Amino acid sequence: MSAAHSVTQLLARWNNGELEALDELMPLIYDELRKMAKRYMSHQNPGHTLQTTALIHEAYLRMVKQKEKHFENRSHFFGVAAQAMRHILVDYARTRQTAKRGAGSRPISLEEAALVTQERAAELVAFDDALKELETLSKRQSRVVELRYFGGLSVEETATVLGVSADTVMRDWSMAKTWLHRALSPSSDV
Amino acid sequence: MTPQQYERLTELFHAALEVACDNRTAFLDQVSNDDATLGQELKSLLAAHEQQAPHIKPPEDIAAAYLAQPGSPTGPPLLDPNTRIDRYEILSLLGKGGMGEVYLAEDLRLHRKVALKILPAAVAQDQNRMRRFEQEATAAAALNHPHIAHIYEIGECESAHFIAIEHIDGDTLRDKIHRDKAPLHKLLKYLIQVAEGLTRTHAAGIVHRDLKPDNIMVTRDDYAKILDFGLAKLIEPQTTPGPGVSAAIKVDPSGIAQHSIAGMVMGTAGYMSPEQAEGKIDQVDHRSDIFSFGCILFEAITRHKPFADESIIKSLHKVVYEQAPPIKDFDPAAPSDLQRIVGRCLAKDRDERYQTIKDVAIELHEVRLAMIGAGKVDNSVQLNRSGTLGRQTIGPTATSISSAEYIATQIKRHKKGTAIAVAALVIAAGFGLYKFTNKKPFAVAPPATRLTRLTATGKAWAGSISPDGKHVAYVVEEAGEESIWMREVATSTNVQIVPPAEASYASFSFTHDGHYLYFIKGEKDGPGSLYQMPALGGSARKIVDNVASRAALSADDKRIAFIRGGFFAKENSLIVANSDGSGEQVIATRMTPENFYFGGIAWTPDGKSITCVAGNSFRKLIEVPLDGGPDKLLQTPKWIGLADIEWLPDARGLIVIAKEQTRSAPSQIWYLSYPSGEAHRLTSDFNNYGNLSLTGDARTLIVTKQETTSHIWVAPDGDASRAKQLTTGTGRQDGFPAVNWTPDGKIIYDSTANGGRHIWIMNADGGEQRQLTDGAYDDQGAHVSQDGRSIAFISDRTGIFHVYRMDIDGTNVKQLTSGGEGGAAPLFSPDRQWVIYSVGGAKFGNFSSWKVPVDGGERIQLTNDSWASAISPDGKLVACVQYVAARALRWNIRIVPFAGGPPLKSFEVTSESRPSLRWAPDGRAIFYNLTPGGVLSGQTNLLIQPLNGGALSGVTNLWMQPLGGGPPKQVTHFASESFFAFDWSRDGKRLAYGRGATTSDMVLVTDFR
Repeated sequence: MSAAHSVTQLLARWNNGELEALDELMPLIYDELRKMAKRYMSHQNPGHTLQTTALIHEAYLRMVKQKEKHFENRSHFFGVAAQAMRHILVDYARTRQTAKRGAGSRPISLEEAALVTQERAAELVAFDDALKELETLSKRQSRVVELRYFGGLSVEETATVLGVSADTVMRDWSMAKTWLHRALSPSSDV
Repeated sequence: MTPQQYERLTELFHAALEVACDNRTAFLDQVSNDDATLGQELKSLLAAHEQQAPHIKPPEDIAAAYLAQPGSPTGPPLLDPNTRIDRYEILSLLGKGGMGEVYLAEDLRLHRKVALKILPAAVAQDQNRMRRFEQEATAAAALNHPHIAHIYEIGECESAHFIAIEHIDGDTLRDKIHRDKAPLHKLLKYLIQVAEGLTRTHAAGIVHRDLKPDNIMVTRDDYAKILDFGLAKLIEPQTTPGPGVSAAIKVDPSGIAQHSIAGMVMGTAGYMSPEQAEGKIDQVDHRSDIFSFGCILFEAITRHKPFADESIIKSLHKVVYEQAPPIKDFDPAAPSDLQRIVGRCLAKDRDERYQTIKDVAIELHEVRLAMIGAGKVDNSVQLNRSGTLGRQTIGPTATSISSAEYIATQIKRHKKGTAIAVAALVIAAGFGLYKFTNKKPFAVAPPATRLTRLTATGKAWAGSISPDGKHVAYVVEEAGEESIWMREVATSTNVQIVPPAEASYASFSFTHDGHYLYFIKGEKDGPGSLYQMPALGGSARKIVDNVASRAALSADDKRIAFIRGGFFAKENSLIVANSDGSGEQVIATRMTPENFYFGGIAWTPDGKSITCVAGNSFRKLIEVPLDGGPDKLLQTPKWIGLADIEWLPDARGLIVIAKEQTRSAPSQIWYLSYPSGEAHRLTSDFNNYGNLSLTGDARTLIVTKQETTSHIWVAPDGDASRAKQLTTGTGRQDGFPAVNWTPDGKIIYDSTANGGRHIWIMNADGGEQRQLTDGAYDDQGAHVSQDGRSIAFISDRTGIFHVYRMDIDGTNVKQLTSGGEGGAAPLFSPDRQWVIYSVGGAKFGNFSSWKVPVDGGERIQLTNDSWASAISPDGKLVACVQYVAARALRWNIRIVPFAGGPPLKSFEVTSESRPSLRWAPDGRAIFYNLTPGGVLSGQTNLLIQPLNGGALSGVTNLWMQPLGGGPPKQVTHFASESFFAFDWSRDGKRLAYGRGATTSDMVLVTDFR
């Protein structure tokens, strides 16, 4: 079975309520994103700003059988891809943070150093931690953040993935952002 | 907070935002009145909301940084376990270095572990460099050598460039030197192996350029293997910096190479040669490796680097200007020869170093033997893995197994069990690629040896002569069945003593009293068994199972010696037993690649030792004492085949069947003087000899002689019934391996009519036969350009076969290829702009094809898996032959675009020999010749044929495959004989071919002493 075929099928199965399909889908997309990242590395100048959305969109084009594409499929794919992207970036940020603490430290290339400071990496890690906390309070809101923030999805796309109205997404997004901001602010109120 | 509370909070948050600012305080108060905690939360959220008009910075910068890091030399592992790269699945990270990460991976197709090196993107991006690297790595990949980590594949997947390399489980030489403090004799053993490996690569024109202890692995079985051939090519600059531009010396102290920096010097400080340190890239050659080797040798002896200093720059300065300290300063007990060897390796001037690494290997070997002999180490006897008492291999472990030989042996084992096949197979791998050198290698003049043909059926082989010289036992194979015959020499009568049966017999020995005959009968899918039968007929009795060699009888006929265990097994043993098979005793066990070779075994004249052959590539003659003393290495020339040995009774010499170090040289009969090791040929011809046996008075010997004869024939319309033979004469090989029409209807062909193999021309009726090339070398494989002006051919005038072209009259010879690979089977493109040629590769069936401009220049690869055999009349397509499988001898005929690209068409055929191809003159069909299996006599064992047609056996017929579709059609209907080369005249009306056969007969040899 070709990768494209299996991704399409897995998406369909997931769409039909087979939750375990997601477990199979996730590693596929995760791998694809990493591979694509590697490809970007070989073709683009370091420092080239990359839209996570573009990356995911490209992964979609590569992985999903185009003949069978329809919007729902695409949205669902984006839903998984956003989660994969979150893992990738946060994992990466954690290694950058580790460097700061000295454990497993490694030299930082100039390109990397120019792009992301350890503080910024720490920020992302903290953001992820806060998002996990939010998840315990509202799964849907944390998904909205994940989709919009890591997946770069629009409000409408997010709504499709989650099966809610755009208005709900807007409200969740607003609340979640505020909650996260407060959680991450050092001067957060007692 | 509970989810429910949070949900409520969310509602209140949105409600509050909808409430006008003025009323918000009242709203909050009300909430607080209901639930104080909730009110507090809401208040703080609203504050946060107001404070920032919530904005979270998108992670784009993190993503960009992430993308900037993967694949960088210091980056974290890019690939997780279970990631698939092409057909490899990542298992774990083995290491990181300048050339990217190395993973342990599993080849999912071949189910073996490989080391998968992922090249850094920045390196892979440089296409020029990648191309040069791939060329070199491809060449290195073709080398199958026990001391070179095998490169399995160079590939690209999803833009990731990777190299799949033999996974070596072991330690680096650095660890052995410094961590394990391995004794010097061990380190020397590894280094001798390294030198053997380098000998092979240097011979192929490949220089390592970054030899260091980290690049040498020692396996758990104690074999040294060199890593990373060709990788240095990726990093070094392509030209020497011009005048006025100082070579920026940039060396990575950690051994992690930098990325491409113009003028950068590649190599690792402390091991690089002065010419590398000075950035004189154009001066880097195999002698640079010899310098690096000297540095490692120095380090092995002293445990210090010869040019160590506090900084790299200082260290490099030392490399260029200072002598290494005397090794006695570190180890006063080190043999003084080592000082001399190290000194010569480390000469600043390339011309003052050893000129070949082989010389270093030989000298180190001698030093090591002296060390061991002087009792500095005690390793003559040790327990091997199986716990039995075995002998430790001493001396340089031998070099490669020719895969052709391997396959030969496999087939032999499964099919025939013939000793002569082994003698003959040695022709195998590169017919047309390597030359007959040293036709007169030793000063001793050959005596007037006389050969008398004993049989003339062409189907007799595996003969053995009785000690009194009166009888010869031999095998006849006909229609797939073998029978054993006894011939009375005086009366020329032949008596069948074992009737024809579907069996295979080999390795006959008479007892010294002449009463019994011992032989090996091949068992289906297993090793042979030793049988004994009364010499003049009677029933054969199995006396020992699982015997791999012939049984050598002691002078009193009371004991037999034989080898058990395949040559390619992990280990095999020399066994002595009573002549009835009882009382087996293991005398010695040897491990690969120093195994006993089953070709030759004999009792020494004093009866105290067994002389036998060992070693994978270069055969060594060793004497194994029965009393458990150390093995003795007998002096011999460098022989890659040593199949049969017989001592002369005065112990002053042996008669052996041996093959010189060149691949196309046939197995010949040699006299080897003992103990001087001087040798001379008793025969010097294009035939193969095997199955040597000697009479008791050592005045007569019998051998099997394989002779190939072929002549040029022309058949109108390919109709065999009207075919006409154009050349005649016995013992000639005409049109083998090539025959060709010129546009004006003449025939260009290869012929041995005048001694060496040369290119000839004649008229279509056989008139005016004229030799076009001459000289003390071989020219062959002629192909005429479409305009009839030029001939492309191969010649071994430089030592190995290279591609040349010349004018049709034999003038203006120009060499087109160079390097260690050589070339074979040249073809002009129709526009005469290119010459296409193929390379056999060291591995069986490992073909590639290339094109080179007709005036010479950079070559371009056409295929990496097949042999180019014909080009379409319009020059757009090339028909190639790809080897499919060893056992069934299946081949793919593939049509590939001349401009490059995947095959357009591919179909499979079965043939014992590699098919030759020709396009129909109208371009609509492919003609090919097939020699199906099952018809052929075992003795010629077509192992030889797949690569080259070293023998012509079986019945060959011509077939045609229309390219537009439809079934293949048989064109000729020959009932006998074989042909390798054929060509249609330009008008498509006449078929020329070189048809003949290989015969096998018993020959008596006398007057050889």
